[in-house]
Amino acid sequence: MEDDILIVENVSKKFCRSLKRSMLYGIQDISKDILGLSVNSNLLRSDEFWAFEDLSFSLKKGESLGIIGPNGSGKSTLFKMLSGIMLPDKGKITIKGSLGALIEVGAGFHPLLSGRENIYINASILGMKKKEIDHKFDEIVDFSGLEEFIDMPVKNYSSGMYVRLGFSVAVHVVPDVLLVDEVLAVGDAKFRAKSLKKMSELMQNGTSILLVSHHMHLIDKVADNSLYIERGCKALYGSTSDMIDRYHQCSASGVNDNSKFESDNLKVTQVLINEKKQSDSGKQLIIRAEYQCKKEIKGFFGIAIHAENGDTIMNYRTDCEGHKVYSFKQGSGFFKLILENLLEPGIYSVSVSIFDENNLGSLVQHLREYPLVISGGKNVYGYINMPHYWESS
Amino acid sequence: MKKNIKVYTPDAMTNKGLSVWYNMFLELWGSRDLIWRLIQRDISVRYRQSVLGYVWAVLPQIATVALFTYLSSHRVFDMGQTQMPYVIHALWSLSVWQLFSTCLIGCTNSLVNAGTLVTKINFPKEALVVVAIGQSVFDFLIRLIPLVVVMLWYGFLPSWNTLLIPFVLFFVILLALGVGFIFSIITLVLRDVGNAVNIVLTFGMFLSPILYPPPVREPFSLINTYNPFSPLLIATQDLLSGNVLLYLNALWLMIALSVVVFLMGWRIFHITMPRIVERA
Repeated sequence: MEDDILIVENVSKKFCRSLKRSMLYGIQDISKDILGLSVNSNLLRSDEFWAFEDLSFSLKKGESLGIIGPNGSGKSTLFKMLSGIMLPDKGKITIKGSLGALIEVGAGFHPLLSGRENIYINASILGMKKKEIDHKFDEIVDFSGLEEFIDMPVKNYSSGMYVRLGFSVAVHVVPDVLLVDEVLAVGDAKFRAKSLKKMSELMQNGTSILLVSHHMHLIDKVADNSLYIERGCKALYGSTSDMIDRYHQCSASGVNDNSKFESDNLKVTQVLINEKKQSDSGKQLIIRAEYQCKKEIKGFFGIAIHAENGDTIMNYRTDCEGHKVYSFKQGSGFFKLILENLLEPGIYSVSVSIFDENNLGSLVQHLREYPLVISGGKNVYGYINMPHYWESS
Repeated sequence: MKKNIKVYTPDAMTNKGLSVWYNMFLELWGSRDLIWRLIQRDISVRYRQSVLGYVWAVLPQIATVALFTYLSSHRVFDMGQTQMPYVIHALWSLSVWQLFSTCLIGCTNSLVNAGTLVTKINFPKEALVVVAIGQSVFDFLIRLIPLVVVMLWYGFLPSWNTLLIPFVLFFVILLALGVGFIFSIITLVLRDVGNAVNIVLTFGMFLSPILYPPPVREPFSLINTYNPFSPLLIATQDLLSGNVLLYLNALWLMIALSVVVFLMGWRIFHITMPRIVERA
């Protein structure tokens, strides 16, 4: 515990659903604060809920921690509490050293002022003294890559340039703990690579980094361990690859909000993927669809796999592949697709469809209805892992 | 190596005792660089997109005084006898009033104008409120230029007591800052305050002996007795003209009051900030 630089002990935070009640509670709490009465912040009043409960973790010098979770799980709230903008309702946060937060890059930039003037102002807001700024000014400008625009009012900057300038200032403050909240998503690829390099440089010099992102490859690159938080659940702490798997599984359960169409006589009752809804990368993938038929009917069937964003990775149909028309007999039956699994770890979804004999309309269509999670954590940069080898000279 | 250890708990802000004041002072003192930089920013940005620039700081006041001088010289209103020539009396008093009112308005809106800075970055937010004072003081100094010109025109020589005026003005600012601290946090959640302040200040201008001399007859003299701003204003007028300070007791009372209001405002601001940010 001695060399821990950031210690979070049993921290909880509550919020209020109703604006009116929230104001009322605010007045109550503030009056109690001013009069020095105890607020009893560990109790819930009506309309209040715990944004997250009982969170504990610690961070050593130079260590990094990824924070993963769906929207609204309290990641930003956690950062606001770590930076001292909000106070926890229960528990205790201890920070030994200075803290820098990249929560909103470029907050406090004045549009009429030039980049140069804004660097000085923003750096002072983040706690730098004039001498330090003078000393690091060239470095900041150089890192942002905005030399030729530095004397232009920032209102004429593009949004990417804006973020680059803000990020450059923030990383040059060199805090003991740095909070990074999804800011690397902006900026072009070149700047992103530069930022990642800067972060690892900071870590080598003893800065601990907390990173919030929905881009798993970023978390994977930066953080060894991660925290998975979800509303209404206890936070999980573990290795980054385990937590990424966990996130993928959780996100997959929310995919099936898409169109589902069935005819009266033919229904797909169940779709099994490898008997479980999970598969390890590099093995055989079996997608088995069971149907229930009331009256004999002829048709074709197809199965497709989609990426998380809905793009179709592959779509195989019996009619397109020259198979004969299939007759669905009365009663129940199944068809299955067996393929070599070349998918990279991630969340995918499966569609199942049946077309009539003349290929005019769908009899059954379950579009992106079935989640498919390929676990394995590492290497989450693409969809397909093709057999390959390297050559060099 | 010196390490600053920060601990955040639910009751971090409500710890009693003198150490809290010490910490609050340290925090404010530590942000003096930032305050100075933000003051410079505000002043340099203020009139950047304008041709007349700083003239706008003095124009409203010159127009008001010109109008009232015209009305009083044509006996539309009987302004009564002022200790100094009327134009000087009105220009000076209006400047002091403007100093107070722009300070208060500036402080009240300071947090709202700062936008996401308040909710996203942790730094001593007191700095933002204090910065609003800088702009007002700067404008006040500019407004002294036409006043000096008018004094030269009238051949009016201020008394040596004038040197004590900054002392009184300090407490005028302290009063505005104390009230401004509280108004600024309320404005973050309730925008009504900003509008209300504007209206009250408009009335306040006419309820203080600015465009007329301090009334001595009942019931009008009650305005002096119960308007908390009057003793401070009259003191500056007396100091400028070299008169004896008439309402000395009231002046000391107001000075004490402004110190108390300032300290209370600051403390309340400090305590409530985290709770307000949650709801802003």
